[in-house]
Amino acid sequence: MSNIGTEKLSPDARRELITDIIRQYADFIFRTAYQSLKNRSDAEDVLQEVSVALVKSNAPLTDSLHLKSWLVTVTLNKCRDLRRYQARRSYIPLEECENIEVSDTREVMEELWQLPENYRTVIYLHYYAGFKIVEIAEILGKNPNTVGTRLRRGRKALEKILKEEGSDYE
Amino acid sequence: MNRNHLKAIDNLRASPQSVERALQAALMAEQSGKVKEMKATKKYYKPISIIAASLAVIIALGVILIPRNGNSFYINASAAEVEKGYDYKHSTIGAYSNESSAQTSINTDTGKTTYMLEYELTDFYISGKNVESVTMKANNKCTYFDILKDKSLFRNYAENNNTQYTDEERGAITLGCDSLTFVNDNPSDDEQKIDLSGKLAYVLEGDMSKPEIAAKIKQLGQNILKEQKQLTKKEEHAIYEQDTKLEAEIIKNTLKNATIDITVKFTDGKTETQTINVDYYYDSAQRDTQWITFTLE
Repeated sequence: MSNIGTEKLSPDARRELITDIIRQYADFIFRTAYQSLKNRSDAEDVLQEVSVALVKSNAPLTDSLHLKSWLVTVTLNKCRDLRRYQARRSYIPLEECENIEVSDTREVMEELWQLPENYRTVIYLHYYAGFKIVEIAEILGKNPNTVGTRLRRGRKALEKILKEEGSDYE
Repeated sequence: MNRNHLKAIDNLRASPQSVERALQAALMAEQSGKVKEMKATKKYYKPISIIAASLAVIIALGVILIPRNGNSFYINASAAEVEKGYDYKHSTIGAYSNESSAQTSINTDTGKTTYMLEYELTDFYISGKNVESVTMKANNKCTYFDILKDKSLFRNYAENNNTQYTDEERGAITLGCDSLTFVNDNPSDDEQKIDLSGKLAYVLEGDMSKPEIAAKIKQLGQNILKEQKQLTKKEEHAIYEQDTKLEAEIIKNTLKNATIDITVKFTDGKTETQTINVDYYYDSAQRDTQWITFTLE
């Protein structure tokens, strides 16, 4: 993707660009939402909402450097909104919905899900999504020191969990 | 995070159907300028005890309506942010706050603590009728507020900057204020909900004027220096264990008998104050999780 302004794109070209972006980042958005929400169905709903936001908001469609950060920010915000929405309605999804996931994948994810979300998100963004601490700080709107602290504490907490469960920590 | 985690995350993929739904929703929004909800995956729900407990909180804090000349106010704090899988009994008694920052500095020569934790007030509302302003006051020494966003909505924070400290104690760090006022620009006879969620953080420092606390802060500082060197996993783990215990002891001390006064001024000039107790929980059995809770006195 080049860094040209979307205003220069024809409607057809813009549509094509949006389609490409959604196809390219669908799994990434889904994973980011899933690690946060722990539920496939909810994560897929968030994917849909982020896709709509991509169109309706001032997303940096042609700025590949900032697009990924933008997608993470919007995805995490949508996850938070969804959790609040569900909490206000006093419901959570049935376990059988959650268990649609491949069992061994879910089992491994359970280890990560034992971490408080503050730590989990930072660890996910750093170790899996490949963001640097300063980039995560920008995405989450936090001080880089804060992100560093969360990363350190999260790593330690995860290490403790894995030791308790007899898994390796690397 | 180990290879299994990375592989597990790699295995996670959005279903082709959900990608198609997302595409259709996006293209419809693009074409019409309207958001149309595509039919999502069918979901089934069941209520669980944690949420029931959250509701109980809302009820417990929310029903304290005190009518007087049409004036009223109540504090509505829910545990909506609490994650599944945690010990709810603590969080459900008040507003849950995320720990959003933690800093330790080795510079301890100002007399004021250089250790602090910051808790974002994630779900915090003041509701009422004829509410003109809401003043929040953190009563304990070493506890104060930091405005995270929408600073223009608040008043009187500059002059209340860490007034709990003596001039001697007030060091170079000025992160917040122990009292501040939210001004309601449009008071109403009807019920209004003032949403302060995410706007404020409750900041806790260690009390350096107490020698035993100062020693713990100093130890934290020394640990930071140690962590900058190459450590074995065993050494690193031992420091982590020590740090979490030190932090818990420092913050417990800061929050001993801590309260926050919420004072509402009504349009007729009358005022009313409710006091919130602040408590701290640290649970080593639960992955060293820590949190603070608020309860009405």
